[in-house]
Amino acid sequence: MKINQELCVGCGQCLPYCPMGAIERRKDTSQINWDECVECGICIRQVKCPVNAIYEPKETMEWPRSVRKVFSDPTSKHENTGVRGRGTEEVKSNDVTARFKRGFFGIALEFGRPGVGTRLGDVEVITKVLAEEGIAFEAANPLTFLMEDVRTGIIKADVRNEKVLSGIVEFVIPQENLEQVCTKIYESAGKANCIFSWALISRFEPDGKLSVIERLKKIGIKPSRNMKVNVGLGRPLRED
Amino acid sequence: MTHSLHRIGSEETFQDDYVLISRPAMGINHVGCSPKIRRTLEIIFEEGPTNLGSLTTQENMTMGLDPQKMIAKTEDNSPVMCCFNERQKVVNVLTRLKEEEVGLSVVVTGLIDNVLGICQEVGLKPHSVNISLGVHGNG
Ligand code: SF4
Ligand code: SF4
Repeated sequence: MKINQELCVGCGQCLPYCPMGAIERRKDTSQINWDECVECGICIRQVKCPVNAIYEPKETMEWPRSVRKVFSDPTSKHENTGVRGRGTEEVKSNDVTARFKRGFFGIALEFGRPGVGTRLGDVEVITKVLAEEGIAFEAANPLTFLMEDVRTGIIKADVRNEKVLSGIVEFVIPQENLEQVCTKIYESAGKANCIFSWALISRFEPDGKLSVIERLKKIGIKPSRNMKVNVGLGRPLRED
Repeated sequence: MTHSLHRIGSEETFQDDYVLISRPAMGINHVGCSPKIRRTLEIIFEEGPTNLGSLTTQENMTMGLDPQKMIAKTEDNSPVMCCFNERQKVVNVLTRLKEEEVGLSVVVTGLIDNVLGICQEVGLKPHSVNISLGVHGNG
């Protein structure tokens, strides 16, 4: 995003809207720090700029900069998934897709968040470790498309330095690998240059129980009791 | 961004706090589903959400979102995203969606015992769950 320096009157109204603090006040105008801006689009959508000085230049949509918008602007739609926003449908439509089946767990690691963001290359701290474990990354996830080689977890050189609001690494593991994979992630977490949130998707067992909770507690991971439940209203319903 | 999942707070602060999201599965049941999304929105607005946001109109209720305008602009991939601060309203919404066999997927985020209690009351069999394992790393 850019601010037209000819038009801007330096009123400063736009500054508090930027989740990355990328709008900087100069002597008579405001300017956007091009390297820190993640192209989330909040400024252009929400700020009532008195002179309409905020604009999206054509470079925003040029490769590799274009990945910023895909990962940061929830109104942009990812070409490969058709889903608006950064991730996939995760548990939200699992009653219809059955992407996460009994006997398996889905794992999602979201790097960055509003306020801090992440450089795309920073996810490698975890993706390289996971690749060594033989993890198959979710094919329909935008971040997987940006890997040089999904067998190494290495991100393409030309997008490594692109800054985004957040990027989600997704994959599925057989349930017997839970302890091993979770311990690896836990051990690597301290080396990550940015923060990441960690979520696990599980089917309810036929009797309605969630035995994964006790297994996680045994390896020192205490899940939050605030959970996102797919209540099974989607049709056609797929059990597995 | 699964923010509803990774929210941090004491259990008391989550007691009457429910996030409800409804959407089709892209590539499976999304083609022509906008009437179902519209019906879901109508039911939710009738029950009275605490807030509801729209990716299509870029507004939420605190910004003065107009329900009728929003419903009119619904597309096949418009997700429904709202929150409630009353258990009974969530029960009512889910009951109506079930009785009318609307057929879109629905997730409810909240304290697990509360959400499971709601499912039991409505007669729903919970399918799957997304669980937060916390926020890690440095930054
Ligand atoms: S709101 Fe517009 S005029 Fe005011 S500082 Fe921002 S860009 Fe400049
Ligand atoms: S697009 Fe987003 S990150 Fe960039 S200046 Fe605007 S609000 Fe800030």
